[in-house]
Amino acid sequence: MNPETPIGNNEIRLTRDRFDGIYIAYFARLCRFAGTYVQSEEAAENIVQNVFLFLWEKHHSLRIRTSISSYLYTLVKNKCIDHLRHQKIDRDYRAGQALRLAALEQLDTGLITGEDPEATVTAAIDRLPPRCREVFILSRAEGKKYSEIAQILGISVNTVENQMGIALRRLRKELEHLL
Amino acid sequence: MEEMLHRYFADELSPSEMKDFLEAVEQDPGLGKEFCRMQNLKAISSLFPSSSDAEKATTRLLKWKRNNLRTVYRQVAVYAAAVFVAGFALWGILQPHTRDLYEEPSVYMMEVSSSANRTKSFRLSDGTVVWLNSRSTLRYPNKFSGTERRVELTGEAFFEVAPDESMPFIVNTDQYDIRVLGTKFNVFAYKDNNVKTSLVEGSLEVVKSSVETPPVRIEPNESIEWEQDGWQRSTFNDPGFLLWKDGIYSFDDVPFIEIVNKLELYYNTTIVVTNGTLAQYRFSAKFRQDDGLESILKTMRKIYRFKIEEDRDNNTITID
Repeated sequence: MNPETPIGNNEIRLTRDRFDGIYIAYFARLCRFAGTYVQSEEAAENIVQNVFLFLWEKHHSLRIRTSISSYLYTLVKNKCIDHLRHQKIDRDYRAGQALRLAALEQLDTGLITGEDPEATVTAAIDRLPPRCREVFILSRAEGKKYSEIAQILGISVNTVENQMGIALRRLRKELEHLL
Repeated sequence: MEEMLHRYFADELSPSEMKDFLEAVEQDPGLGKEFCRMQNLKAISSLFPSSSDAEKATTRLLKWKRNNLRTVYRQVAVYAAAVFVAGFALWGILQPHTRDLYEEPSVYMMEVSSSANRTKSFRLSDGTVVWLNSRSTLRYPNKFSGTERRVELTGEAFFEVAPDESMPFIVNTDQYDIRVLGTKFNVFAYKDNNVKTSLVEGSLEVVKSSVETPPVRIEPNESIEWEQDGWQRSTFNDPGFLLWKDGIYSFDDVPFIEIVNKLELYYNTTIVVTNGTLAQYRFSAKFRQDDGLESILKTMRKIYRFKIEEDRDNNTITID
């Protein structure tokens, strides 16, 4: 399924009783992740659902040597690559698609560095200055527009844009090895 | 340019700005690399949880499980609550608001059963037409949603599946699954019998998830069943055995014992054949379902003499 070799010795065995918990913890986040590449909420949900279907059907024969999150993100990543390679789209959007595919192919979902991307990313976001963090989460996790964030926090759109700029520059630097 | 990049990934560019921006990225490899990094940063930022994640996942999971016919509502609700609470405690998500954990289910399972000696036909919400043979049950959702159309069968059914490429139609039996896009086929899946799938038109594949084997695709006029050691394929030329959906039981050069086995299933009775020669004697015959078991046996007795003893208390018929 995946050409990269997992690192680490701690094997995780997936059991049916853990399945629901994993599904609930990861489904929506994986959909957001896939959506940034495939640019369609429906396609993203189908990709993630298929990954969980695979887990459900193969759980007894799986030996996961990375963290669960790293494993899930790798499966979703590979399915997104398949999707982007096979999707036909308008000429105007082709440039964006080629770039997203290139980006996806160079993304490390934790298999190369052996670190848990979830822990690294959430820690980096939590280290942002408070206002900056708030703006960033509203934008990225909650999917709010700049104008909506401005209204919620009672600040100007300009300030939102500045805070996002600070957040993105910091995260870009701290997470460079994963990107 | 950095500002454009940030605004692009925040979805804040106008269509014309977007076009200019993408052209610029295409022409500048350095900018292209930066685009990829920011794209990936946006993607991995989604690892950060959002306040509505648990609700979205729970709704979807329940829907899936309901379609999957393995519903464990209470367990899911407990997990959902635990994850929901943990989500708030751990991440201090902004703006918590209370909502119900999941919506009232709008998709629920329906069940149609046919009694002994009766054939039923009906239409599902997607336009698929189903015929149910005697003593058979089909479970299906009131409406199909998600990525597949899944139904569960015990007994025998004939399906004329409405084509829908985006949503495969899956018949779940206790031995394996049958996956189709739009075709006509028959499934014989009575309890304690090999499940046999016969294709009339189109194409289908059978999937057995409990064993490590790839799905197998069969062609029209082919049948397939799962034996202990693997798939067994066979072909059929005479589609007479499908006449049951018109209320006719047709047998073409079939050993008496096989006919008896079918009649046992259709009429919910036990038939014991004590005469070995008779058991292997081959009959060709058509019967009306309405005729009833007694009339069918009496008709066959005209071809090959045998004695019928009926034990009504034990619902058993002995044939000698």
